[in-house]
Amino acid sequence: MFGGVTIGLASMAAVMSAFGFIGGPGLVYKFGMTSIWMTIACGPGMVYGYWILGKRMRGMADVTDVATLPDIARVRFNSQAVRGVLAVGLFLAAIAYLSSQVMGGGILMNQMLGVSKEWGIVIMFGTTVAYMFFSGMSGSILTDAFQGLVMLIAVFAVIIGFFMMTGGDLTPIANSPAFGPSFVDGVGSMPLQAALVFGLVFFVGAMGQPTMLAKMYSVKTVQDIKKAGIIGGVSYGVTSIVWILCGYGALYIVATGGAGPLQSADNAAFLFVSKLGGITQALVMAGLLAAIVSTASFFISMSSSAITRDLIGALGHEMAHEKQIRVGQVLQVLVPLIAIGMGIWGGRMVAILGALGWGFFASVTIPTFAIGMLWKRCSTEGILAGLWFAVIANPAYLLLENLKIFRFPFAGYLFCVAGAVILTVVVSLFTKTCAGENMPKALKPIFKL
Amino acid sequence: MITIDDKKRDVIVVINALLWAFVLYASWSGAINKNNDLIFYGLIASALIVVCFYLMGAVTNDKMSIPVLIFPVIINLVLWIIAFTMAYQTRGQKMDFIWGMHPGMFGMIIIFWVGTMICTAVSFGLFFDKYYLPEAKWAEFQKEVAQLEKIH
Repeated sequence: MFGGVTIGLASMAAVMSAFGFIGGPGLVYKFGMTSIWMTIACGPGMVYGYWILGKRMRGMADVTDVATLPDIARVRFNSQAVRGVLAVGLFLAAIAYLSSQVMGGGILMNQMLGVSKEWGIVIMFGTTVAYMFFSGMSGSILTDAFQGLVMLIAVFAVIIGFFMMTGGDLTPIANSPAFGPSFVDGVGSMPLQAALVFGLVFFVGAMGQPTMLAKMYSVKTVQDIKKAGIIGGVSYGVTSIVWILCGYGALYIVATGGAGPLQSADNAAFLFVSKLGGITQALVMAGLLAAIVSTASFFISMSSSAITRDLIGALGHEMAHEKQIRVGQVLQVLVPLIAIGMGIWGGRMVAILGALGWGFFASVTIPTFAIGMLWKRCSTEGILAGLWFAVIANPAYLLLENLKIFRFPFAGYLFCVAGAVILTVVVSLFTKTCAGENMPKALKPIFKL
Repeated sequence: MITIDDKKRDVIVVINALLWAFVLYASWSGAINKNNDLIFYGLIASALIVVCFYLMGAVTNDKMSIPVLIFPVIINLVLWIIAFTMAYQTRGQKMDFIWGMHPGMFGMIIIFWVGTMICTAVSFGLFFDKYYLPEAKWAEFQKEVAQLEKIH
């Protein structure tokens, strides 16, 4: 168990990633304000998550001695099936999320070392996997906290660089024929429904991110819930500035003729950083590196334990601890390889991949934990209906979109999150397993908190 | 204090599910029929979803204190409605900037982001010990849990 400051910084570092530091500025360059709805929702959403679930998740640590999220779900719903399906959902979502780190890592190494993106990916993930072999999950939390500090330093470098460059004046972007007012207004140039989905799923979905839930469960004392919530949310809010200012900095440079239009929007952050000068550039690059490594290590570790511990356990075969470690290490190599495949096959921007992972996580965890821990009548059957729906619908819509068969007129993960919530509630209204008075006796005090 | 007992919680959960359904409908139908007003109502519904979770999570022993109901719950709702309205009404228009920002961007950055951050974080710090998780309540929980067998 860890203190509130460590947990708060580690939560922020694990949530802010290549998605925010590379993909975010890319989306700002391409669409203006729309994507910023994601990051400005997420910071306060993290504190909101602690308001809603903090004490109940921490309370679970006193009721049970299990260690993983699928295991906590098993305890709540007294069901190995819930544990197994949630493990599959978390594993698949982690792959989607990791693929954004893979692509971002490749681009970062390409910019820093001049190697090809493919070699960049090998260097980045080789290093990450190597230190995970020795550190495990607790090492991951401690290094996340340190990397969070590095990221905060990078933010100050970005703020100073941005205001020195632009004087805080966005008028050239609004007046540029290439961009115009829609790049500086409150909605941006994506359709309004995109902003709606980003705002909602990234605010409410923050409490469903595994890094948040796992850390709520592992704070040392109840006072640490308060510290972790506030520090995590506020520090994430501060790092959001990188997303916003790097994106607008790149737009400003192109609008004022400082550089030609970008071939790839994912290079927006690097265009801005390249104009900042040596020390600032080094600080920001260190922040980018920290953002990717901290997130990747958490998700690699989580996805391997979802399989070695939870999925196999749910199938009735609990692995011995030593064997779990050995198989886990093999998976820690395999998981990034699958993520690389998905990143390359999907061919999407870094931020879009990150958002897909985020939405996938929200669709499996919001019903299980936000509904399951707040509503006594939430039943095992209800959760299974929601989880199965999310686990099938998320890959299905991605597949249909990639094969160009069908595309929602909004981000498809809204359909998955909303569908999972609705199904969970409707089925729970008519079923009773582990709901209300049928809940294990030891869990009842949690619902009085 | 307002009481949010099991029956009220059932109603809130059903309303929450209906709001998710409405957001889905507003995004889908609004996009196909190019009806931005409908999508704007979806934005308002998203603010109400946030309120629903607050009403279920920011309570202690089925009770929500009035200060918590006002700050953060109602203030959060008001901030979101103001911010969304500013962003929606001014989108795509060339306008005078406020503090170096387009009025829509001002609404989202200052009112939505900074406002909600202050609202959630300050209220959490302020009310944690008094209303969210009083020490006596946690001690009572631990005492109760200690008498029960841990689940493995």
